[in-house]
Amino acid sequence: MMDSLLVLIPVVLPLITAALLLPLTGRARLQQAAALVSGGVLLASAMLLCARTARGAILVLPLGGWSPRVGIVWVADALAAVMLLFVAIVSYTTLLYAGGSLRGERERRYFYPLHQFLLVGVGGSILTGDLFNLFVFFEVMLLASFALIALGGRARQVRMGVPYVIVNLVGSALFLAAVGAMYGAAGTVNMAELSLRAGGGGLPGVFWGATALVLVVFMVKTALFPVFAWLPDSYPEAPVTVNALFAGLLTKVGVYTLFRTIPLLGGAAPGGWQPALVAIAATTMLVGVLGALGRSTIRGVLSFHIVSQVGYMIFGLALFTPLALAAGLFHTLHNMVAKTALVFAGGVAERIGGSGKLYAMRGLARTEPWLAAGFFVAAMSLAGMPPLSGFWGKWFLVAGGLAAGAPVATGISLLVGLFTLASMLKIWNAVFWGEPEGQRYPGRGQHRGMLGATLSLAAMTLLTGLLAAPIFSHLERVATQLLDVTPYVAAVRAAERREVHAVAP
Amino acid sequence: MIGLAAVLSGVLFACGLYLLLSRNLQRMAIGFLLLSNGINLFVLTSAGLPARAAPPLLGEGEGASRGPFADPLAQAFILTAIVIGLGMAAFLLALSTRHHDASGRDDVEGDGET
Repeated sequence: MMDSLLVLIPVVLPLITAALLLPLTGRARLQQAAALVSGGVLLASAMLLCARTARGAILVLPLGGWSPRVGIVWVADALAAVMLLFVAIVSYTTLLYAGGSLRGERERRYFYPLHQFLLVGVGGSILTGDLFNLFVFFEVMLLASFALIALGGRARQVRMGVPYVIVNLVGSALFLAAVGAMYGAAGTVNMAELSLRAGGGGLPGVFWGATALVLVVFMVKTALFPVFAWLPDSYPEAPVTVNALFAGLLTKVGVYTLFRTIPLLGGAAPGGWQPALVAIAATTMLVGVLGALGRSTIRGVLSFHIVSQVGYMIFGLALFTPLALAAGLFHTLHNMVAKTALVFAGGVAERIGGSGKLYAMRGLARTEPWLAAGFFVAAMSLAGMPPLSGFWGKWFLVAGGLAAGAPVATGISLLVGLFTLASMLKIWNAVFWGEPEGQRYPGRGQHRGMLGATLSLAAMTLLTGLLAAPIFSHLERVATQLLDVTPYVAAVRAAERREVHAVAP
Repeated sequence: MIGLAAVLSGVLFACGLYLLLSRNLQRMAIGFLLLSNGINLFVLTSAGLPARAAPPLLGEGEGASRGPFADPLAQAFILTAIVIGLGMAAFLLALSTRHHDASGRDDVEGDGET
């Protein structure tokens, strides 16, 4: 009972909250308070789920009592639990931040319900055990994100949002087609069953073609090279809170789906995909950081960095060793925290300066020391300075990359770290350093929720860095569980006709 | 039957993609609808279309149908996908109205960072 509740809460709780918030439109403070309460429960349940799955238990919930082969199953293993925990953390801080940063009635009115709907999609995508439901939850997430990215409805915002909408719609359509073809070839869309049948061999070429198409669609969602161009234009146009939410949650769902599907199907797949993925990851890092160096607004730089950082995560996955996989996961979690903190701090700076243009204002470090401290810590973490979490993420990746025999890509990752530092210094010099000047609305940076959200995430990246050893050893266990597919498959298969099945390690 | 469905699905795909590549948001919305219908047909076909397939309802006594049955799971997929596609199309149309109201134009032209 307790276990099935734990698996249900991450999807059902935001859904109920969203329904309750809808009639309260126009009463933003009440909505925020209710969303914070619900977010607190979500956080607590994610922690419980982490504790429950930490020793290798896998919770499987077959909905409606159908067999997992034809019905819907939700699976919570250690990877899903740890992702859900960080999703809950990031979403909680965005709620805190939203109170001060949303501008005007139009943005405030529907933000909180849409935020909850987005969480439904994210939670569902993480927990689902079959590809078709992944499609459905992707669509829930997308529809909420479409509305969020157009929140406010300014002309430029709508125009820049169109590529985001169209690319994701076409991506989803192709995803559905690929799932259909996979179903036709293998007779199931359950990921555990697919893994089993793929491992058994003898599947037609159609199956692998469809698998490749699914992976391409996930790459689009993750914004990997060469299918990343939709991201850096549209994100900076959204309201800051939405930008932070997308940077912290949305692109990471794509990363999660790759981490989920590739180990399940990769072992049986025809060879050659690994070096290709390494090359894609390395190019993504490089292209993203070069794009970031060329941008001239705070959030423009930060949005290109989303692309670059995704490269690191997928690099860890592509190497396909327990060490590198754990490093990729560590980097993903670190990035969810550090990147959200950066967008938060950049958003406050943008409010004070009246625009996000670099060099339009200066000297925020003098007038807003706490904000500057939050930005500095997060920026150094992203660039990979010890003892912050970003340093350890890169450290483990370099170790994993050298051990797996990919020296060129590892070298590129180090070079990209240098460029990241350069682009962070660019923002720092332009906005925070020097004598104060050009601050159009100096009073706007004092909102407690906005500063609190920024600083707590900055503190968290420091804490993650200091506790890197225990966290990493946990992630190594997660990675081992991922690469050894058998427990996952066994847990799902054993779930037939039982409400919840927990498989002991 | 399968051949016909394949051709039809391909035609819907092609028309949908052509319309999606235009700069007019309403055309894009129609393109998306065609594309999603093409894909629904594709999913239905890929699950197999046995000739004279009975609906997957067994019934009792004299009228009980015996195979071959159409695959109900693929139909359930499509039913879900149709609902989602409808929602997305509604959003696209709303977006195009909003875009027209906000900018007074029908077409979108990305100008990057200016």
